[in-house]
Amino acid sequence: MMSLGKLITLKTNDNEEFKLDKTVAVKLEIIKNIVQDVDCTSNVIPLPNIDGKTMTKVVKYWKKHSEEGVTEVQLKNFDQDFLKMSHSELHDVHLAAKYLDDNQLKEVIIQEFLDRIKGKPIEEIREVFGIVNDYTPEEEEEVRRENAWAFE
Amino acid sequence: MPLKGRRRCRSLPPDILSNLPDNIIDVILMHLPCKDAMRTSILSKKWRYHWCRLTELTLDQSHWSTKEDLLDPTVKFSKIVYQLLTLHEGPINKFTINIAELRSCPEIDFFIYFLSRNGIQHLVLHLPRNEDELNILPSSLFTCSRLKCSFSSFC
Repeated sequence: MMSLGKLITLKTNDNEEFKLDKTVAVKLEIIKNIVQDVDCTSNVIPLPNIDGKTMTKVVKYWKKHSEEGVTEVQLKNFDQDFLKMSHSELHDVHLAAKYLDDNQLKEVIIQEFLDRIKGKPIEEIREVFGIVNDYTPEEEEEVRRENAWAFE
Repeated sequence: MPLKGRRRCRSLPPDILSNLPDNIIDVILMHLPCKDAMRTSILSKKWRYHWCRLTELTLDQSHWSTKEDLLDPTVKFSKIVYQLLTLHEGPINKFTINIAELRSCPEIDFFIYFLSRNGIQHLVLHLPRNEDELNILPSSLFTCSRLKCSFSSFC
């Protein structure tokens, strides 16, 4: 094989293709397993659970985090920017990271969800995440009584 | 049928948070201060008992030292522990208590006894040094086969 062998193509469920350096892709458990299992001369790995829009984000993250000579500060700034997405996009990236078994990315997403909730008033959490309050006023009162300490 | 009493439901974003898998919600709740985790019970019915099944809980200094609250930390501690024990379900694998102002408090023994029977594996106690009535750990704790303890005291 020529240098072509160093590239791996990931194909999403909407037929978008992402060419990745093998050294980047092989860091991930699931891709490593597929590469080992399948004769990878075609170098195309299908990702039936991920769409192109989400994969674009994941690949952007991988590329930055495997850049040579990248500093902690640069990565921190990159992450901050990277995480500026809607809750549902964040959710999609989390599902993708889960499928790809990328623990680092999973943790980053969970931390972001946490930061979006921490210290926020209940009403705001409901509003921001679209949680419908399905308690009757009586039930709500009961829950407040039940967990009285937390609502002092 | 239109939902009564709920305004502009259609304009609400999809409920991403509640639809996260349970294990992710657990991770998020475990990273919140205990009080904030408990407060999520009011979000909606789905959230009511979610925090009660957390396997890791932390009661840190922030829970006792509020400016407005003049209640004695030991009294407050007993109250909180009582509420936690009443509502919690299932095993508690890790428990961290950090309280600098605790005076004599027999409740802590009950609490440790409770933990020892509920799968405790990692117990972190950060308590004040108390010469006369040094907190003696209940013997039940030593029957927990997988327990890892960390003790330290405020001097």
